[in-house]
Amino acid sequence: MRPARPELFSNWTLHYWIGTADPAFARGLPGVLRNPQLMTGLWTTLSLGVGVSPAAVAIGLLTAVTLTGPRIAVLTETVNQLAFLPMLLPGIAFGAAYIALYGAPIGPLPALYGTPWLLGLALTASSLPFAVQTGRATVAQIGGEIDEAARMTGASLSRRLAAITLPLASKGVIAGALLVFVNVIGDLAIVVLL
Amino acid sequence: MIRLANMTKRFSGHAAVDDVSLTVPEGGFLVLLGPSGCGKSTMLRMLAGLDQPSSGRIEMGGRLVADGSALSLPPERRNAWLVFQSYALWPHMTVAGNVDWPLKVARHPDRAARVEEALAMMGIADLAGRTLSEISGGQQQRVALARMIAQRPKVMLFDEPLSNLDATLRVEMRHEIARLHKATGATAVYVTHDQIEAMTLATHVAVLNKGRVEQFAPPQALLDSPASAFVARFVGTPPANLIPIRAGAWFRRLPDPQLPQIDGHAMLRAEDLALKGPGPRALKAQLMGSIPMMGQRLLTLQVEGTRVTAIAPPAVPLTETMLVTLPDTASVIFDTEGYRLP
Ligand SMILES: Nc1ncnc2c1ncn2[C@@H]1O[C@H](COP(=O)(O)OP(=O)(O)O)[C@@H](O)[C@H]1O
Ligand SMILES: [Mg+2]
Repeated sequence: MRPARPELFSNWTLHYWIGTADPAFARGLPGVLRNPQLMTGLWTTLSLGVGVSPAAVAIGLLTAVTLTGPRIAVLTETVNQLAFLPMLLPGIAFGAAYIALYGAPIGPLPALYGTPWLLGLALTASSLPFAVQTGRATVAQIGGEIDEAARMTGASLSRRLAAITLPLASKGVIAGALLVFVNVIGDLAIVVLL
Repeated sequence: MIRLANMTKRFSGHAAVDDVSLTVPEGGFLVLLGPSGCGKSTMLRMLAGLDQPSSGRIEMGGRLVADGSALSLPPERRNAWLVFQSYALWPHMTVAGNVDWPLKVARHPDRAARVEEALAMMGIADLAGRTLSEISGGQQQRVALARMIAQRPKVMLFDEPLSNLDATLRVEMRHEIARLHKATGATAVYVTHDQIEAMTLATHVAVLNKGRVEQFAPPQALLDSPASAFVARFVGTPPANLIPIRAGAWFRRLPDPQLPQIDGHAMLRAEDLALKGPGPRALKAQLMGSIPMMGQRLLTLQVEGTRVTAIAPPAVPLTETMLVTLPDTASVIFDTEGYRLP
């Protein structure tokens, strides 16, 4: 290894991120993390991510449980394929569809356009493919032989839930939630439209 | 002892296990052998108590444990344990934790000693504190076996336990299972589609076909006198040749007064076919391939449109077309239905 040349890094700075306004630097603009508009945006995005992830994961798990229950081949396959549908639609089309659906008041529900609720709804729906698939993986893993091995011991359902199912599900759920979270905060098209 | 009487399991009308009756003595090693989907796992799950027979009875150690829909003892009251195909270890527990948990549920008084003993017996004492992601597939298999022997079951059930291992490990673990069986004296029921595992481990083999028992016999008897063409095709290394015969003629065209005047198949082992000729009983064969085996070569040949295996001693040169000579007699003949003629 050659010794690192200190001058290479000497003009690196965090000013663009956290600097206060300084007329001598970057035309007097403060660092991006001090821009109030941007910060609100960032917070909205993050809280959407935090709100949407559990919702999507819960729906995903429920779907997965239904899918792995008593099998009705055609139905199961159809639901499984339908869960992929949001992935095929471009974000723009998805956003537009949701404006059309919820832009005007429906019965007792007020118009949702312009509120974070509409964003949340659309993002939840668009995240379902990830949620359902990770949910399926989780349920398939725990529902099969792993739970039967626990049944062999004679442990009661509540004991199996506490000692086996929940500790294992939590891993899958966290993985699914992260996937949805990343998907949500990275989704530009839907957010711009709504 | 395990006794099955007319054990049947139906899934929406279709019989996955169909009227199975057999008895294995205490300390025996029963192998359920058959192709994928023939009902092996379903049988094992009923023995384990995870499923209930639609009809028929299961006795273990002289005790009735399942009787159609009338009775089914839960798994923990059968003194049996099932080693799953996927191992079904609990991935959030350590190696020792996996072995310990069933004892904990059973409120066993001396868990630590049992766990230690079982891990030592499987040669994985030094892995006790590891998590499962830190150990190899072969070691996970050892944990699954340790989890079973720590409970000292009277009946050990195995569902294709070696199918996820590579060839070398498979042989090693096969010996381990044979050793466990000897050391514990428990009765074993072992499911596989691999006839070599069946032949090396079993005291009794039940060959299954579409949920029914084709033949229930010791391994050597399956080789010497297979009850059906299905069994003959399934066992043996290499499996026997089934030569089509029509009206007493080999390959439908070489008449032989020694053969019965029927249609069906004659069973010939690879070593029954001599690579010599010409002669009245010699036929032309195309060489399809050869595998070196124990100083000789195992040949795949095409004779009259039928693929056969034969053994070539080192002195025999391999050529594209060869001559094979049929033996004087065929002792095992199957009719067109695949049943053996008396
Ligand atoms: N829970 C179930 N519901 C419906 N059919 C089943 C079920 N379990 C097994 N089967 C059917 O029973 C047959 C035997 O299955 P299985 O015992 O798993 O075979 P093997 O273990 O020999 O491969 C198969 O046709 C399978 O589809
Ligand atoms: Mg199976």
